[in-house]
Amino acid sequence: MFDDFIKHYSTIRNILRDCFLYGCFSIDDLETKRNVSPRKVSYEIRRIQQYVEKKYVKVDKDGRYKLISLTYDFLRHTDNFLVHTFMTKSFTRTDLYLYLLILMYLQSKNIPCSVNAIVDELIDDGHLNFEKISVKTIERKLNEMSKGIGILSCDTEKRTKQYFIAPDILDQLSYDQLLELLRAIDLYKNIVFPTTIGYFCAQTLQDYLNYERKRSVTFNLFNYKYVHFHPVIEEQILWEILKAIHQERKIKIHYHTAKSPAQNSYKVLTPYKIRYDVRHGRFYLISFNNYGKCIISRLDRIESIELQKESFSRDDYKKNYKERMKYTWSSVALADGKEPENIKLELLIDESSERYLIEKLKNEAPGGKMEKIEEGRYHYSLKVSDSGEMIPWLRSYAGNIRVLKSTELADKLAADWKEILLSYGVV
Amino acid sequence: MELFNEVKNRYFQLLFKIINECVSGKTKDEILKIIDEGEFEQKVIGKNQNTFADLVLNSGDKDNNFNLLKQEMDLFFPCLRDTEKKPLPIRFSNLEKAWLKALLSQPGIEMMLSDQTLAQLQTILRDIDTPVQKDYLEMTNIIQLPEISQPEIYQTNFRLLLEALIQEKPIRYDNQDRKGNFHKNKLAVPVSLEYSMRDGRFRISMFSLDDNRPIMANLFTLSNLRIVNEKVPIDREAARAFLFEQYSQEPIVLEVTDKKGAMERSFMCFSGMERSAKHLGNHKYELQLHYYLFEEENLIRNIISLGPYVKVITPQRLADEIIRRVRKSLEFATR
Repeated sequence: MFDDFIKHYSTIRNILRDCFLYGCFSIDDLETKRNVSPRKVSYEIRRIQQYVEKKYVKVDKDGRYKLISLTYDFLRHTDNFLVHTFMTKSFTRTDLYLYLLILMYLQSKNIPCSVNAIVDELIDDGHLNFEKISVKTIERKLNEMSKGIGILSCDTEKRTKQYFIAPDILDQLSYDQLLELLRAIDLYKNIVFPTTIGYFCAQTLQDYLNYERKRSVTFNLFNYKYVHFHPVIEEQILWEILKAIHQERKIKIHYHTAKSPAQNSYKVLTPYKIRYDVRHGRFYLISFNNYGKCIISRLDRIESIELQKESFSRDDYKKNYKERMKYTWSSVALADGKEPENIKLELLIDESSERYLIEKLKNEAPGGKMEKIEEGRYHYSLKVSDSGEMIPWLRSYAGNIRVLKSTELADKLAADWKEILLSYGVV
Repeated sequence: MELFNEVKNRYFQLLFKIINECVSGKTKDEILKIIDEGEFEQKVIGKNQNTFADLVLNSGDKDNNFNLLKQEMDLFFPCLRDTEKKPLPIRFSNLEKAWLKALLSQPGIEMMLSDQTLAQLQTILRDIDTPVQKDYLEMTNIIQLPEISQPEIYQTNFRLLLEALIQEKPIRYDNQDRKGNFHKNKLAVPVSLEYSMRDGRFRISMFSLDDNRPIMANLFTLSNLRIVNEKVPIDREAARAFLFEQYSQEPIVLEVTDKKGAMERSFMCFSGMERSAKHLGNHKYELQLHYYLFEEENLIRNIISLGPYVKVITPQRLADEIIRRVRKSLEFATR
């Protein structure tokens, strides 16, 4: 009906991510990066500019190139504006018309109605024309509205389906109770994945208060730390995976790698768990292939998911997951036939001003053992699947830490320190 | 139901709203105002250049008009209605009910909902099957703080502070800071409850009227907390503005070399900060970040953690601090 909307979220997903995270690519850069035509890039950028509120869109110039970026400040803006990009699915006039007409019709009746009763009355009153919309189409829409969306309920009476408006589950809650719920949704909509659904819930409840209770309310009570907005771009994939895990069904994933972002490969996998790296805002799927090998895939590199008929039992993979991931820092599984590495760190602090670092280190790398050697000197021992994963974290303790074990890890870190100094021209 | 669904389309929702607003009749201008407030700044255009407003008001193509409103004299009404009820019902979708069910088992939900509301919602949603389960999603790179020894104090303080924020009232409290100093009977305006996704804790951001500056406090160290009716010189919005004043005058400028994933990690790590970036060529990028001064220590740690491919260009003060820490680390390493 309107060309501005899209049929599949994947149409804008990669370019939206590039604009939001980087914001430094011109149309030419994106064309090369994503191996798509410049026309397609311009088209999707135009859509993104349309879907996102103006205040978050920044247009810079780099020579003759225009750079579009999306930016915000975590303290001033607590609502994730990227959620708006999920409110753009295309629809036909029939989709819109039937959905709203059926709702209005059933809302005006106090009794359940069969498809035939609905169709007959709507035709008699001139709202429907058989030449344009068939009974089958209406039946499909009623089915979607009851089974899929849930705004209608359906009972079967003498083998005939009877449709009616779904019961009002909030009916028994007072206005104050609804406010409590709205505040809870408002807080958790940025915390509980998929957060997009939390935003949908907040909107529905606000509409409910407005139209059913004739009260309008807004508030701004919460702030967040370490809440990233970009993971929302992967939430459609996340939702498909969560459903597959829940139904214990295998999936086929279409995937691209960092080295060849334009090329797709596919794998059939048993999805076991999602891991979310809070620091970077990155989702990983932990799954197993048909040989029981643990496969880890980044969600931002999954193009699409196909649910397979083949099922599995989650219990069969519980032990394997635990063995592989027990000592994992973020997303690297313990390799086949390998034992976790034993790491020993030395923490050197000024006891008068840096004592807090002892607890900080223990809290950030839980499960280890802290030992006081002398005033200002502590040893911390822990196990990890792959010590390479903890290097960025170790670097964050620059000036206070050194690696005692393993030598390989100590050498890597020392090489990093030298390279950092070299980059600043200090040798 | 799919997450990406047409019924959640902004214009689908807008028409839903217009129909409900028209229950007692709305003029064309009133409807145009609703559309103007609800549609994209860059308006959508349909076939034959019909706007969304044309189709809502049945003034577009005969075959494309929505025909969901009918005009009686100067007013528009829903095409079908029972005068006793709103023309369109508001209900949570199946997708939303699945999320709400998960909400009820979140840590801390008992601080947001009363026992009665929680029990009622649990009963209402008891038959909902949800794929949003704690067991399917694990958080990593988190901070595991020790359990709070007196959770009841934490919870009571949370509820009281939430109430103070709702009522927009100041508070008085006693507090013991990280260094063990005890502060008695302090007066402050609460600004917001801050949730950290890394440690799962709430803290209170407030404006201290005794110290005349924004402060952050742990909820469990506050005692003798109460809402007061005292007149204070600033309100919550003004207190929030003080917080925003703590913004760096100049951005920090980083040079990022796209090696070993440093570029992606840097951009992800700083995604919540106001920023701009440009490609310098030769796999190098310039990243400008605006930051709050109270976040400076975190920022330094983050930059160092990103490794040798992220370098501070300006301010020199921060570059010097990074060099100092790294030098010290190298000395330790080669001891």
